[in-house]
Amino acid sequence: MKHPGEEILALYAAADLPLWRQWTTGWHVRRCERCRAEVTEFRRTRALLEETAGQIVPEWDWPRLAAEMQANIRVGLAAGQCVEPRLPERRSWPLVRVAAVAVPLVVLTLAGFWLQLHRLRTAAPSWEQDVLLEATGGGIELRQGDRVLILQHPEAERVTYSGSAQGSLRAHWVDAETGQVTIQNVYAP
Amino acid sequence: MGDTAGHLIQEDLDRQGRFIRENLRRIFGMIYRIVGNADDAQDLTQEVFIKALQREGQLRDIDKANRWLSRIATNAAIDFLRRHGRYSFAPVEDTPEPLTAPPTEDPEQRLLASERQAYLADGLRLLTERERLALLLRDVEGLPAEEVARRLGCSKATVRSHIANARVKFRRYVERRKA
Repeated sequence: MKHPGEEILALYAAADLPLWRQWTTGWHVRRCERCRAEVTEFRRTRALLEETAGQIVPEWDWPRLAAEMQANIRVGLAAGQCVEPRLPERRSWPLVRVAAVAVPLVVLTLAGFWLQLHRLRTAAPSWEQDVLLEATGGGIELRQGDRVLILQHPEAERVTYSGSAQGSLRAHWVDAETGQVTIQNVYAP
Repeated sequence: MGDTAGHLIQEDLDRQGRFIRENLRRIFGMIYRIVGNADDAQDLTQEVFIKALQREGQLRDIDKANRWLSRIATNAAIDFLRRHGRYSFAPVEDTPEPLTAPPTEDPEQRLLASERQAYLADGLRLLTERERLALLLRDVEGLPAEEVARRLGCSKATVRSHIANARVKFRRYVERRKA
């Protein structure tokens, strides 16, 4: 009959073997007096260890040790409360972080685009909106779009017109009867 | 209002005090058996309780709290051994500042307990650190082999091997002492 090794019996004594091995060893131990005695001895040693280790702190030492430790624990807890722990940093979702960067960027781009477009529109020439100043047979005309202002003068008089580069027009004539000189200056806005 | 707040604080303190009293001896013993000397065990026990009581939310369920506390204690002790790489078993009365005995102390009992401690210390010294930890966690603290493996950070097979070797060595030691 082949006996299990000492290590196997040591594990069997406290049911520490894998299930199948525990069962086969148990089958042998139940039929083998020698191995049964070994197992009993392992169990006795285990109980002795447990008992001795359990009494490792003698009664007479304990009250003082315990009192000292309890006092130190209280001091430690009080000290811990004095130093307030920092609140952990709140974790924001990655999507929120991306949005926080992307949204202002998009707004800035759109605003830039809109401003650029607006500037181009206002700078574009619009003949309909320009002021036109001209001398006609009836007088000096100031025309803007479909609106017209005419500064008339007597048709009988000889009128002299002169214009300036700054955008003004001047009409000048002498009344034949009275000899009165009339000068009209019209400035384009 | 002030009375209510004061009452609540007192209740908290009472609860903490009860929790410490109910578990202190068990936790100190557990750590002491692993690190092997009273001074280190005392420091570690205090650290463990402070850590535990700062997370009181974990302590509402008593059964879970006990298991959780044991786990912090063994982890703290194992970490300590890893950091300091030492195990120097010294009986509690061999601490630098001897603990005074109360007047009712029975000298015979004290001698007997000292002998037991010395007996255990000699036996544990024969084991490697891993074997000693595995044996204590399994046979003294009663943790299943799987849990011992987790706490020691090794496989179940390795832990079984440590436990088996430790039991065989300790048994031989006991037999030699008997002889």
